[in-house]
Amino acid sequence: MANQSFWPMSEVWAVVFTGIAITFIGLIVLILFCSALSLLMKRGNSTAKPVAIPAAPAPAAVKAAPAAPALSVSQSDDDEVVAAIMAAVSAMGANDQVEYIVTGIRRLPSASTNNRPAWGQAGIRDNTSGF
Amino acid sequence: MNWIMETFLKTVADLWSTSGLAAITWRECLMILIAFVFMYLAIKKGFEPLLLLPISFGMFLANLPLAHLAVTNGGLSPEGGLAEGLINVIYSGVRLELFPPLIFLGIGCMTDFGPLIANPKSFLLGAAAQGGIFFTFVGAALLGMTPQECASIAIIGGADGPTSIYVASKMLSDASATLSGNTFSIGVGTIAVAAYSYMALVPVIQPPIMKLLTTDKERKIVMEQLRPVSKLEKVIFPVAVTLVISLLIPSAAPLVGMLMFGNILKESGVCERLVKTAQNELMNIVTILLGLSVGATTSAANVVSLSTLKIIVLGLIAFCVGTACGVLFGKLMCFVTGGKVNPLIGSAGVSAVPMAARVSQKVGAQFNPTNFLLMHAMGPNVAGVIGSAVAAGVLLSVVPHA
Repeated sequence: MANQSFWPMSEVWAVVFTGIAITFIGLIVLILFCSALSLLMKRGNSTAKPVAIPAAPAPAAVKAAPAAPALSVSQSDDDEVVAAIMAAVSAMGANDQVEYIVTGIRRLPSASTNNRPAWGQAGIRDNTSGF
Repeated sequence: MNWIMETFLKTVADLWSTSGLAAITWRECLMILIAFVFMYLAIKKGFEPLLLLPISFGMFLANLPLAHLAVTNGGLSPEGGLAEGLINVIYSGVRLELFPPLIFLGIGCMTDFGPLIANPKSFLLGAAAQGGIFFTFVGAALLGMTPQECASIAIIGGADGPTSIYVASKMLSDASATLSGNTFSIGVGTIAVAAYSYMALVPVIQPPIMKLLTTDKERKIVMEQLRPVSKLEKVIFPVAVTLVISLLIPSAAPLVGMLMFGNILKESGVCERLVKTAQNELMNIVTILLGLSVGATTSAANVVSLSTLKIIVLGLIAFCVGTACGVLFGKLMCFVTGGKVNPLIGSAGVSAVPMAARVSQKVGAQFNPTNFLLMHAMGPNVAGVIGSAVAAGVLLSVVPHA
């Protein structure tokens, strides 16, 4: 560009379109690179198949009901985890002045919910609740 | 006795005539008051205090008459060497392009590019939001500013303080004035104050534009969960970005290179001590020196003029247009992907990290409280840091400067 005090508007528009085009081109190249890297990573991981987790239905809803149906707990659940869940529900009921009855506890496979384990979901909820 | 009185009164008169009170002008009083306002905003309101407080105090010091604490002649002596004085010596870190890249080093150490790597399409939003820079370039040219002034004002639209200071210090240097044959009516300090002020106002400026340009249905879009990103990808990414951008636009290499250097230190996991230093001590030292010296360029003679008003108006326009461009491109992506992209994350393409991403989360949550847009918005937000550095590199390549 020639050294001059003020540019004609044609040169100004040339700078604008050149600038936008080069910015997009540079970042599109990076998009292509990241996409290629992602594909390479997927191919590298495809030899190790993920452990199959049996799908399970969503847990039974926690109901406030006078009847007390038999509690069903899947065989693989830890008794201590069940006890902790029951204690938490009981404490919740005490706060709400409502009697909650747990009708079932089933472990959810992490792959079924947004690829994130429950602790991760809870962490996100905690960290973003202020917004 | 009369002789003693006369001597006393003469001494008092001499002291008065050499004091700052006799030399102060209305312009300096105005600048000191403005400095007090910025200090109030920084301390009481929390407007980017880490930089606005040093800048405002530098402004205060620079406008104390006869204190010689303002940056003079761009920090150079009449012979062209380093000028004497505390502030001129500190300002040499800006003039020699040292401080802004070091700030970027620290930013790279604190940035997680995971959301961007997981969803590379976010780069497009980061690029689109830089539209504010280039359209403001046109606006400044229409107001009769020189190309160097246009570039310095336009870069405010990138919402990146160090980048704004980097570009402005190169464009508005005395050497650039000599090279181009132009006289500049604006200074680095004004650009920096405008940039950081608008960055602090992101939560105020952006939401109305976001709501104006999106429909209720679009704001409620829930995006798919991001894939996990491996450590190997996070280590390769900074190397690749540096290589690609520096080969395409070499003038962007100092900023992008230092940003990615900081990031690879962090992601490698083997330089924890260096990362801690870069994130803390180094950033803090450079921030203090950069803020104080840039603020000290805002002497009354440089700032109290019509051009400052132009900077304020054009800077706001740059910001608003950048936000609008990002949201509109987000709408385009929403349409092209069949409703998978929430356009609100487009506004995060301005590089005010992480404030712009938080604004996207907040506005999205207003319409759908269960919508977690924060991590999706972080992708365009950090892409905007790279995008604004690229745009700065383009301006530095195209606009003549020294």
